[in-house]
Amino acid sequence: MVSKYRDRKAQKTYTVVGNDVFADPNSRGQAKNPFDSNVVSNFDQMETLLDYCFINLGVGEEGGGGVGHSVVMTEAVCIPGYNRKMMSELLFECYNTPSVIFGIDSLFSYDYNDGKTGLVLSAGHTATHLIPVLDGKGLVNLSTRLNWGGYQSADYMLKLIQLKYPGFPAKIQSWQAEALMKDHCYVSSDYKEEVANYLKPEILLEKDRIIQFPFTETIKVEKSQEELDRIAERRKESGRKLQEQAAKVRLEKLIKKEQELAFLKTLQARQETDSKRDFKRLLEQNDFRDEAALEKSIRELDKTIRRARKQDVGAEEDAANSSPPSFPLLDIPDEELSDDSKKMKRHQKLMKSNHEARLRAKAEKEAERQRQEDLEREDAAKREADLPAWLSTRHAARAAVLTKIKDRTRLRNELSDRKSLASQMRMKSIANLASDSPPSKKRRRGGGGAPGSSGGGGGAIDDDNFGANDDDWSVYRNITLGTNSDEDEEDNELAKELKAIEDQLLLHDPHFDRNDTQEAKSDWRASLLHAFTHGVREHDLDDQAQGCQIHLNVERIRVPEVFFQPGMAGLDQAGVIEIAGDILLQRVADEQVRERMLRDVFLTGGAVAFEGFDERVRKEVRGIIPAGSVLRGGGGWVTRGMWEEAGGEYILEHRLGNAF
Amino acid sequence: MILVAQTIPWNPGPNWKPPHRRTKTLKQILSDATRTAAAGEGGTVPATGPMQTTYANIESAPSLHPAHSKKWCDITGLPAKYTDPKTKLRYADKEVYAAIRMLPPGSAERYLELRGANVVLK
Repeated sequence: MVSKYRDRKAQKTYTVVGNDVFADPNSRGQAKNPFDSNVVSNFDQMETLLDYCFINLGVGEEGGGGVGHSVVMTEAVCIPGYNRKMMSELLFECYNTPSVIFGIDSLFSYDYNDGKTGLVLSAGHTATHLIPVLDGKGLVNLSTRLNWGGYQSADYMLKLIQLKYPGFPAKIQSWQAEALMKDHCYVSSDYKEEVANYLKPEILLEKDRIIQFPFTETIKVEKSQEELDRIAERRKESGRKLQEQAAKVRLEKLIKKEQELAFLKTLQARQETDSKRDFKRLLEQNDFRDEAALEKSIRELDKTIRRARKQDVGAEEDAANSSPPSFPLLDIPDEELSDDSKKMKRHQKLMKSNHEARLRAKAEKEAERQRQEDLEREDAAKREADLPAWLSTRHAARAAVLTKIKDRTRLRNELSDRKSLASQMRMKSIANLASDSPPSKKRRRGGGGAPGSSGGGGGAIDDDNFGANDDDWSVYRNITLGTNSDEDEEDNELAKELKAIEDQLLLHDPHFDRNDTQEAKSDWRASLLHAFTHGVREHDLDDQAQGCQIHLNVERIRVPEVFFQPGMAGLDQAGVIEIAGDILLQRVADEQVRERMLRDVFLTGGAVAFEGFDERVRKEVRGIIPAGSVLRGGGGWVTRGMWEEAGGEYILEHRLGNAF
Repeated sequence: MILVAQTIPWNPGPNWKPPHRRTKTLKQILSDATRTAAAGEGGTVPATGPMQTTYANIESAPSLHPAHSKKWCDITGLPAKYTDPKTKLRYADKEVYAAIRMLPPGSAERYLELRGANVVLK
């Protein structure tokens, strides 16, 4: 990796090479790789890279203008001529090297490990090559490349993890994915069999790897019971005070209004006694236009007073439980009372109506309870009379609730999809509500007949009677989106209903047990996806440590498996075993050569370091070779190439690693 | 390691001048190579072997093995029996199917991309 960047503060341009590019955020942003796939494409960066290598090796300091040493350069199999031309130009003209040897890295490695005849499987960073070697000479014209290497594997791993944990709090870096892949992935010896059973609890317990990402723990301050009690007490106290105050204010207001009402009523009564002119003047004095206006305000006042009384009934529930209050002043006519006691009388009148309203509410509640009890009794009777029939009705009810729940979730999902019918209907409703003109002519004509309209008389022509029908208001419910409390409440209610029915079934149906309940079915123990994302133990949503955990299970074998089944990752190429079979059985014509090659399959490159890679290759190559052949195991199996130290003789024999 | 140009101990060779354009993508390099090869067959450069192997033609061919067309669940990686007709995702069981239904928008495409089965409109 090479990164060139300019530090604005220091007024300097820095060039950073190697792992150091990740040290500084500035350089990290500019980091580039001179390679495109497995060939060098950017020779400017290559030059910087070589500068770095030669300086670190300490060559060229003897003077004499140039590096002064011969260079061994590795290159890709069948590298295009352009690249070799550019590379030799760079080495000879820029660095003045006396001589250069080009060769294929994996063949150096094979030679170093005393390989003579065999098949070299080299899994590199960006590509995997299979090269047959005969008597120390690589048969490059028979070699095959698979465009998959360690880099693609790490990327695959990263994408799998990102998709597995969409809302993961930490950002997973590609180097982290690479490290995870190197540490935890292994090649399954029988992928089909192993993957099918991977998420079974007993196997998963052993194979699941939990990766903990850093997290900051927020400590919740635990309040003692005493403190909680005190807080509750305080809250209750202040609530009570507020209620008292509000009741007092309400009462005062009520009394004032009653007085006003009484005055207006006397005013109305004067209509009969007074002459018309006097009455009219009287009205004008009190800001009334005519009798109708007076009547209207009386009516309205009456209404508000009645409403206020009703409210007080709710607030003073406790008082109702005490003994019925007496209202002695009510029976005494007004004439016999003083002004003060008149006031008292009005108050008592008010209290009396309150008391009566409370009694009515209580009676209604009692009736409701009675009705419930009757229903239950009826239900029990039905159950005893005909158990199977009762059970079938209960089961039907359960199924109905389940479909209701399902419908709700589906509707919610459809609303999240912009193109679905449900969301289109919603958009239509919104558009209708927002537009000034009535939605359609049809509705305008038909909507006039709704009775009991509370709309004012003024705009009778424009009024479309919206709101007269209670269902009209549900349009607002239909257009609200997302998880508002209303919907949650409804969900809760449905869940409660389901629970009640299931409890009944558990009690009375011998064939219905715990495992059949919805609760048991949605339990995490039975969930495949839970095993996949959260392993064998219960997942606690509130635990921050668990929120920052990654469980690696199927990925452990899924990622390296791509070398054997590239189709899994969308690569339309044959896997390494199929390529090996093709080379050995189709392309190598000579029976004897084939026999010798089969004895040595040599693995090299970073990606074959997956545990079990050699095992798998041995097993599968044995499957494709003709009966009677003997596969050599052991000695030739090296899982790490050491091409950096490969000797020069090899290349002297072959001049160029690639066929040219 | 930070390199400043002046500390390089060797002098570039006297003839060394960086070529004008030194960066070519692999795609450009390959298309240039095929062009020159096609021109070469016209007469000047003889073919070097019975079968000319190039960077492009050593690529492995598509798999012919029937076992490799096996289907795996896009979400879990388990063997998949079913395909969701809407998203075209493969899935292992009904629980995964329910999860597919709940996927946030765009997620299904990313799963498909992982398998190289996504449709890219250009």
